[in-house]
Amino acid sequence: MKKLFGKLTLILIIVVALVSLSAANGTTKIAKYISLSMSPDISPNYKNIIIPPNIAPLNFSIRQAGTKYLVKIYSAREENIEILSRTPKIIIPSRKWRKLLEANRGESLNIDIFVKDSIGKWSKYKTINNTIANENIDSHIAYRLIRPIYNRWSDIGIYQRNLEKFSQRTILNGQSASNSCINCHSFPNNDPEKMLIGIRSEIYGSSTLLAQGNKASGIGTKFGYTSWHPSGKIAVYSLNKVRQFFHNAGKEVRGVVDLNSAICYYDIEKKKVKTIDAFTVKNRLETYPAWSPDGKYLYYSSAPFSWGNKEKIPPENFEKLKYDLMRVSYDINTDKWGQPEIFLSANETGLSILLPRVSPDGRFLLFTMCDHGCFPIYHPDSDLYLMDLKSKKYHKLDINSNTSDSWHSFSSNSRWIAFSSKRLDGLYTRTFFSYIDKDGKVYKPFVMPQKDPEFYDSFLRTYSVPELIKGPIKVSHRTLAKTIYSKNNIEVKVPVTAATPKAKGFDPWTERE
Amino acid sequence: MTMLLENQLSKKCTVSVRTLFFFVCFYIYVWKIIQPELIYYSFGVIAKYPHFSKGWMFFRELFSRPFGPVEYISGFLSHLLYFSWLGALILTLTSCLIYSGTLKLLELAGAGKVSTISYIPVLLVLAIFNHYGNSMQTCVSFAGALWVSVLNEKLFVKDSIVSIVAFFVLFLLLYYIAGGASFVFLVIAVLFSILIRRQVVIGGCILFLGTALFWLFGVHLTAPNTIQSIYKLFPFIDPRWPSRHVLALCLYLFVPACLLLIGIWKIIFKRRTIAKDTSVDSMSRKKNPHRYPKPKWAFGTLILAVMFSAMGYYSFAPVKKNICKMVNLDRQEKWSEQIKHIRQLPIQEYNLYYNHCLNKALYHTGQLGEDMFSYPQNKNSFLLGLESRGLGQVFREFIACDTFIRLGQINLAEKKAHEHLENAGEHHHILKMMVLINIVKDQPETAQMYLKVLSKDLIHNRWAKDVLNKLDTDLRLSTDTQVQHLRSVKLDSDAFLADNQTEKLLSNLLIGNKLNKMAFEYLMAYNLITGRLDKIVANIPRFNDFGYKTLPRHYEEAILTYQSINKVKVDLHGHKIRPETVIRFKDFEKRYSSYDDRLDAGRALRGQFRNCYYYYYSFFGTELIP
Repeated sequence: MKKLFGKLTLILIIVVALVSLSAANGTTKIAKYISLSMSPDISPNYKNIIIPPNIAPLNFSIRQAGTKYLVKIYSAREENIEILSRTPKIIIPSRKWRKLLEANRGESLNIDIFVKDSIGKWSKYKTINNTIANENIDSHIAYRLIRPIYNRWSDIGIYQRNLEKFSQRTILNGQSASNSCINCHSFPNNDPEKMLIGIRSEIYGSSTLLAQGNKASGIGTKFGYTSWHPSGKIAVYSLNKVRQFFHNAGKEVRGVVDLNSAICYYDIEKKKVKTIDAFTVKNRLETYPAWSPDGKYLYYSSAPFSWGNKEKIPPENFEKLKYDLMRVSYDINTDKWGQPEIFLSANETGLSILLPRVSPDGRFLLFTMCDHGCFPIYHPDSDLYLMDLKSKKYHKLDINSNTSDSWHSFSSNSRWIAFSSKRLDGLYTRTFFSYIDKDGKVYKPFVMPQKDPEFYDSFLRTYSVPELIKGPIKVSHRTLAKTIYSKNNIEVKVPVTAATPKAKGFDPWTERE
Repeated sequence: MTMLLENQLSKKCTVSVRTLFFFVCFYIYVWKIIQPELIYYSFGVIAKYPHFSKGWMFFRELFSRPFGPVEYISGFLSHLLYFSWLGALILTLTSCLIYSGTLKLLELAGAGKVSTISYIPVLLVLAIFNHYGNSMQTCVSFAGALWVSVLNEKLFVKDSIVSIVAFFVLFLLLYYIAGGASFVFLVIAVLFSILIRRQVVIGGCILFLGTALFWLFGVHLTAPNTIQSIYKLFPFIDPRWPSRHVLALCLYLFVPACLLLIGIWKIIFKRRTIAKDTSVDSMSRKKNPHRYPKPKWAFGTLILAVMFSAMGYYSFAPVKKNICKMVNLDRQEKWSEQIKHIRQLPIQEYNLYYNHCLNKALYHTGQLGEDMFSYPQNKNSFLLGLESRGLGQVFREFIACDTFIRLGQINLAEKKAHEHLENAGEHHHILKMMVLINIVKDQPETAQMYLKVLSKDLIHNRWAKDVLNKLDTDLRLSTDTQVQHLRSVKLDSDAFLADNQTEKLLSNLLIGNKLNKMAFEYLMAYNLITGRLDKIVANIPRFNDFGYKTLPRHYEEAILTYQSINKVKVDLHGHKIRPETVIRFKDFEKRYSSYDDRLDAGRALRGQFRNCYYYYYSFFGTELIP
């Protein structure tokens, strides 16, 4: 009896070892299968896309019913990846994935999916063909995670995600800063060494955090939408007197209007806030500043307004408010501004032009247009447009969806864009990436990968303001929170405009950003 | 010898019987008086929502960070409160662990047999749950800290290095599992070392290194300042609920306080060795084996019975229980029971929320226009749209959200639901409302996402999967009567109205759909409360839209009052006022006019006419109807 038991154990060990070896060598073989002409249904939709060679594994779920799943991932060089799974969730081993992508830059990445049905028959779906780009995407991305906010919030945080892995780290959490509202994180030239974050707190008032390396300091006024000059010497920002209102009917409940706005700039070295008359025109709203990569031009949005009753929210004719795209020249050496010009008129486009961003190579201008107003995320008709700055011709991108697509940023090598879209479920914004080639062709976007392929199915927070950065942010969230608590802000004199915020105290229940 | 053994056995037996009896009473009290199901229904509305989700991802997320394991375990146990009997069993077993841990520690400290004192933490647990908060995490963490302390004392060896190493392994393990509770363990270990065992060097080492580690992990690495870290480490410390916070603190401090007293006692009486639980007691028993158990046991049992009754009685919070019950009945749409429940309430407890839920229940039982003035009324009760940031905010958002959905004001319901989700967490009540809102708005992909979250809920997963299956075959749920009704009353024209503009909101709903009965009856009720008789009369032609066989009594009374004041005959568009209503009104008029003083009339007529609209109309704004 003992001998028999011993033999059985030995056989079992050999079988297990053989199975393990066969799996490890990627030699899982299916003797018979039916080849189907249809493409497999996978989620997220990682099909026919161009992917960065340094991206984390694109884990996915197979939507076809089955009892067993076999996935083979292969390219021209390197060892194939094979995953045999009893569940439809396909988790790709990170190390093999990285090796495969690195060895096959510019090549096609193919995915074969086999599904075993309940009667034991295998079917092979049409091979998925993706392409591995030659150019990396920036290794990190900073974004804000919030719930769809109405009048109140209790948990807002800005986080950084390593795109080469799945790790996410807190940059600053509102809860560790007395439930402050934190927003408008910005970086010069995708550089994580310098960062600005706007703070609005009932206790600590409005301020801005300036992080340089692993140190942080506070500036005694809050920056709105901010753009760093490429030199890193000044940061231009908007002052927005924002008001939120609610629609009693329709798909989107929330609406936002700037009752007033202006643009200022902060000199990092001199610790001074300045503005020019052209940025504070009384009957115009100026917002969304963005520098050209050479630092010679500032682009921004501007709209004429004439509210009758200033107390009425929303103001009359707010739905007719359309922003022009402006441009103004600047000389960093002399601190001299030129005359602003309308770069692209809302009259011409028939739409409100918002969120201009110039690619780091200076070739393209990416912007959002929606029917009216200044807050594209609340407009399902918001779409991304690309202008070739050589020819000044612009076009609507094919990658748009029938939900809001906006809040975009370029990678430091200009080959990737990150943007926010509500296309997955209609309500929660997710971060998508698209490859953009040298001629301005933008390729099918894909959602930021997560370890759990079903992550987005039940994640009830929105990703907002995705900003690609070249590496991790060094300053700790504890240092940033301590800076807020310290109240030792750099005192600055803010030019008085109708949009200038109160230094202390605000009404978070009506204001919104 | 045999006698001694028999006595010991007899004592053990009596103590066990008492313990068993105590915990049986405890179980019955929790099951029948506290009713754990009510705590479950108050999650996210009154009590903090304990997040729990089925599946590997949630498990991994929580077990990969400090304090996560206790959140996971207590979250799981909290959701089981849904079944009152099981919830009571869980609380009883947790309390048993706390009791036995306390008893063991006090015995190890040489306090002898102190079973009666060891019940005090259990009574504190009872008091905490009597306040209808969710303190499962506090209790589970505390039970863990006690038993790790017991383990530490059992593992204690004379080799100081080994003891210190063993302590730190346990300390770090407990910190990872239960966060702040490890501080209780630290304090207990220090007290044992210094005061009980008199090993000052070991105690000093544990104190110094343990505090340093606790500060490093708990304060320095997790939060920007000490206050923030205390909130993280001890989640029961919430300035909004000081009473619960005090009780939980007492629970955490009880054993350390006992050890401190025992230590001081030992120092005073110079008892240098660690007392062994049998030494003193067994000596006295040897001297007089027949005397020991009965009087002591009887006295202890009496004390225990008094303590249990006192704690059960004085810590019980009927107001909170009533609110929880109201929420429960509202969620389950038990309208008749709701009316009965609110009718039984003491008048001083009656408030805006009760008024709101009562009017909703009256409407759904067809009694709003018939019986609403039998109860105090407030014009702000209908939509609860007053902007304020008090304690009731989360509660108000939740209740108002449900009412907005029923009225067809779907966008404002969505606003309330999102605000509630942000403030109270992803609890099933609000997720179900989100599902309904998005289905009604023809946004099935958004509804599906909420359903997928719900499909990981321990209790409501089956419901979620059923709806997901239905959506797979019909994205609009076009055969669902509730969805169809809500689509028919849903507002389709925009107006930018805020949620405190009751009259405009209700009127707007009727412009959108003139057959929106709930909006109509709420508007009429609002007009009645605000004394707008002209608007009641102006709406008479619309009575036909709602197929009233007889006019609701309060409408009749309002029309009669209008006719009487304005000396006009109103066109009733084919409706009739019931003769008994007319007779009663005339009686009121006649008797009212016989008084010279308005208030005297009000006081005299109160008994007979207080549930009539004309009584409300005549005396509103006086001390009779403030």
